[in-house]
Amino acid sequence: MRSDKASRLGFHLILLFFSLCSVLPFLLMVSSSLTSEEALIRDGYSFLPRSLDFSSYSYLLLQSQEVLRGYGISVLTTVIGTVSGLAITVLYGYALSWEGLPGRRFFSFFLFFTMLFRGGLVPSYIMWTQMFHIKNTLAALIFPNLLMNAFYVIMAKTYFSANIPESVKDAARIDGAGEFRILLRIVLPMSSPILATLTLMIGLGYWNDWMNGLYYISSDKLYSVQVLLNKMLMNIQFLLSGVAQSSGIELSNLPATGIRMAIAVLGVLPLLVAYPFFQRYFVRGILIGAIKG
Amino acid sequence: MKNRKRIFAALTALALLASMTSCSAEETASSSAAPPQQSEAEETVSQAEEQPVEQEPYTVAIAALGDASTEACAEVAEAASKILEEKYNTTVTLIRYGYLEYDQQMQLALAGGEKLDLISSGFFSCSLDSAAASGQVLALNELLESSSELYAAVTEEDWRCMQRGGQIYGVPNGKEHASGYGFSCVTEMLEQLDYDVSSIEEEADLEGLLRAVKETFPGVDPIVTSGGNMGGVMSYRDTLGNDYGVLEDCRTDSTELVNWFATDTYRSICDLHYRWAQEGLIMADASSNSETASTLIAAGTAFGYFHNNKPGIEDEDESATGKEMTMIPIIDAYSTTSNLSECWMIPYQCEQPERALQVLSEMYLNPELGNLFAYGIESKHWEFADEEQGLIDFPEGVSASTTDYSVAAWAWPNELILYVFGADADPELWKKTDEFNETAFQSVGKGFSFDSSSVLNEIAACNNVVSKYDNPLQAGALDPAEAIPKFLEELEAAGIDAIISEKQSQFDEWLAAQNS
Amino acid sequence: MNKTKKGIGRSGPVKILRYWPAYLMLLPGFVYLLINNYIPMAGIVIAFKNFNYQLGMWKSPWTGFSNFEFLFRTSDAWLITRNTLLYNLTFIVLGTVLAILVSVSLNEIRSSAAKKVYQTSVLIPYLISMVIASFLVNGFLNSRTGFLNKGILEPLGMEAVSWYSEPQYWPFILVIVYLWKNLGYQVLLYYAALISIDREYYEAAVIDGAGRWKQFLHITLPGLKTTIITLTLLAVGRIFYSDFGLFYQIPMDSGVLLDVTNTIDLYVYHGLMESNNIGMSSAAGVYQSMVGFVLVLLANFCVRRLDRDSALF
Repeated sequence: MRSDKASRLGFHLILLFFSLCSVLPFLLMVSSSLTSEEALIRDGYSFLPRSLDFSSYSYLLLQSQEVLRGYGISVLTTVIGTVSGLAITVLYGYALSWEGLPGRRFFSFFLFFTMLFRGGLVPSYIMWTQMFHIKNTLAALIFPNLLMNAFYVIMAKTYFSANIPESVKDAARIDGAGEFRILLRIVLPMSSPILATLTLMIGLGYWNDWMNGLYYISSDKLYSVQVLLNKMLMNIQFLLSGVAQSSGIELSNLPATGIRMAIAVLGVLPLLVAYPFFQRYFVRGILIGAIKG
Repeated sequence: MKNRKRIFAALTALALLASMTSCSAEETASSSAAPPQQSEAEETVSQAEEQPVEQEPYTVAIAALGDASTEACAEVAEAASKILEEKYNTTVTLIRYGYLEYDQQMQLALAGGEKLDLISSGFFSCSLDSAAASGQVLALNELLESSSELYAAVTEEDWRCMQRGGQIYGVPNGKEHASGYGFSCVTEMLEQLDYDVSSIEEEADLEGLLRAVKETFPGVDPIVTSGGNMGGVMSYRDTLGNDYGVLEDCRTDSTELVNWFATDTYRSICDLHYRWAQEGLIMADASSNSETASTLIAAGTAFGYFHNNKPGIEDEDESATGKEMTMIPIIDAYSTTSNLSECWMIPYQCEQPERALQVLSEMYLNPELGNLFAYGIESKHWEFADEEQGLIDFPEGVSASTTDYSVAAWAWPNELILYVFGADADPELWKKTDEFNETAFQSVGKGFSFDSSSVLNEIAACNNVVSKYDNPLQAGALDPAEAIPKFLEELEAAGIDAIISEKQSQFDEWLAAQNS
Repeated sequence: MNKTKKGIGRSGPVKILRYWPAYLMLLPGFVYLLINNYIPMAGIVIAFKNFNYQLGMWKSPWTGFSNFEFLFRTSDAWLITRNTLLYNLTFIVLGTVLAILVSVSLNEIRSSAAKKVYQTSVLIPYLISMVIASFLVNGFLNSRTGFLNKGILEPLGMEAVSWYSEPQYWPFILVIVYLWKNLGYQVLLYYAALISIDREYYEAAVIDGAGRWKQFLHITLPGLKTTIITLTLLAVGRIFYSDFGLFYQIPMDSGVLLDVTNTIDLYVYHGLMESNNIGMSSAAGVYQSMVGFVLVLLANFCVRRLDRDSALF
């Protein structure tokens, strides 16, 4: 028992190390968003702000209307996108896990192939805007690229193959249950770990996305939080590029270091708040219970 | 095995299907664009100037540089439409994008054949060079014949800079068309030092001043970079489009193109900067600096930086750094083709190019319309600071960081007819800019543009070599004695000689045509 | 087990009919992939064309393989290929090992509050964009104000290092930043696989007196095998790609470091920045995909021979 305790302490230490590595830079980010510009440049970043300065946030407050609307758009697309993305991912993955399904290898390959070859931005853009007319609609934030990722489907398939015994399904079939009913009533309740993981990953994909917003949206009424933040960051990137200098262009009063950090904090914070709610689904035991019950 | 064959068969079928569907989309886009451009252009050309009001209604979609809210763009477009409707029965729409995203947005909009009639050039893919080469924009020669006023407003030399393969593809922005270079520094520190700057003529003459700064103000970097860039090469070179094959000193009559990185001028600049960096006169980590020079100056940790020089530059620097700045001129103004890279173009999908040009001409010549586009709505985006002098500024409560219609007068067709922005700005600014353009030295190579299509591979390889050495050398981070020989060797391996000889033969041809 | 399943119905149409619900389930995903992924693949032809906007994708003139030349006709061709491959191999190996280490640790500790804290923490870096990350890294490495020089080396009496001009440190820095940023995401994947391993195996092992290490070798690793193989195969498919943000933003595009930071993507970016030739840039993409494709087919073939169930297709 003592060795058990010791090794558990070891595991804690490992986790503590990796957690600190992850949290400290974030702390640096928060602290520098609360430091005045001059102090940042003179003394560099520090983990605790030497003196509190809220000017970065008050600058963002000036744009609070856009930021709030951006959050709204982000939440909306994340929710709609995640729910529908999860549905088609699980359906495809579940069907692929069906042993003996004629054409299973074709469908697997059809899926996998999409991970290797991409048409590129220009052809995708032409297709989505000319065939589907999604420019400047909410659909533009949901459909292109993010809805279904082959990788997630493979994960789902792997889980179903490994964890849902054919015998359970067969038993239900004998009881006369339809296939969709089996999926909904038997398979999904046994799959909460993978569902939670997929929800989180698809959701992260939507929350973090700004490419769709940048390319398919030209009206600021539909900018998500990430698009707003990235547009600001892009202005800074441009200023730092050689092009801005060699063309001798005057660009003044763009958001400075502290504001960049404040922006980044605003983008991450909601997820840190939402994340723990997911975690209760990452609990084992549900699985075993389901099989036995 | 069989399975795999079937899969490939299915994929091929799919690709075919895909090709058919998107092909039809392509076709409609290009067919609607190509034919009317010629026939209608010729028909309306003769009438355009005499009876403009009887034209069919048409909407000109404009894309321009700079951040602005959708709402502000719509307001400006509405006000502009009022002016243009009366005169030409034309309405406009306006969309603006930030500097970094503009080019990609244009690339997509152009590839997608979206409605666009007038676009500004950008900094990357949407340059005159690549837009003309890839067929993104229309040649304007015939159209310009109908627009004599606009044609006359730009000098013959400047039009020549807009030519690619003998055709004019853009209307150059009315702004400064030359550039000098110099060292811009904080006036307050300069005064404290009481240093006589009038003796400074060459870059190397700065050394005494820089040393004095270092001694007097510990913790202040005498020279800083902006995001890793030194901000301008203190020489009279004419790059003729890119760094490979340049006129080393365009004030001489020599028309021989040389490898810039092998010149004595380049070597001496690098030597100087290396020595300065060793002495601590250039900031540490100069080539990987993550801040702009103006931010560093605003924070009080920097003395000055190199950049271009033109009328009003000190006011511009002041508004960027928040400190009074002095420009120490080093290189006198000279003008090359690359000084005219900002221009306005008509994309290929424009249905009625003559109507687009009409609007462009009006934007170029009519101050009312010009001010509207460049500065937005009066009393909302700007107000008079001094109406008599023609000075304007942000209204009370609005600033550069809060306005929803950003100010970038240089990005519009002609800033020289506009009000001058900034309450403390020089009301004579545009007049001085005109003089500046007239008095600037004109390079022999001005008007030449390089068609690089036959040496694209070599250019891609050379670009990579340059991105490895040029910046660090200029920032003094590498020892030129060691690095330059390696640099040149790698450039040679990358094929720089092929580029130079191709450019030289095009240049000679061009020169011969100019003289005949 | 597989054999019996395969043997069930060999009677063609009847068999397919029996499976109709499966096909119905595949339908939405199939249609989406067809639209979102397969139709734009037609754009691959751009790589073989001298693209002209007025002529469009189909009427632009063919140029054969000349758009590909710039990738090979350079003395850097070997360097960028080597860098791309070595970095990716390192990422695959270290990423997998560390992710498994952390997931197993997470699985071993009891306190669910601690679990939550650890898991949330390691995911944070994944949420930070590369641009922001590059500022943070600069906060550590800046030679004047950076944390490493000012906070560690100087107090220890050691000489300050000019990090952005010393190439020898950068392979490590890039690997660390990559792991820092992506570990949380990978942990998420492995942890999900881990908690779905049947608890009873472990209980039985404990009764048999197997120690932690034995449990790990005989239960945990086999349980994770499919996940490891899947993730590795996917990474192999992308082995000629590199995270542009990581190699461009993090070293601040410092030229001095280019020998160790240059990858295929970076090379393409620097080479085409000005001309922005979309034919050439899509040629680079096709080349990267093609190599990945061939490697994955090979790898998948090997996996199939060793362990049929773990193969991807």
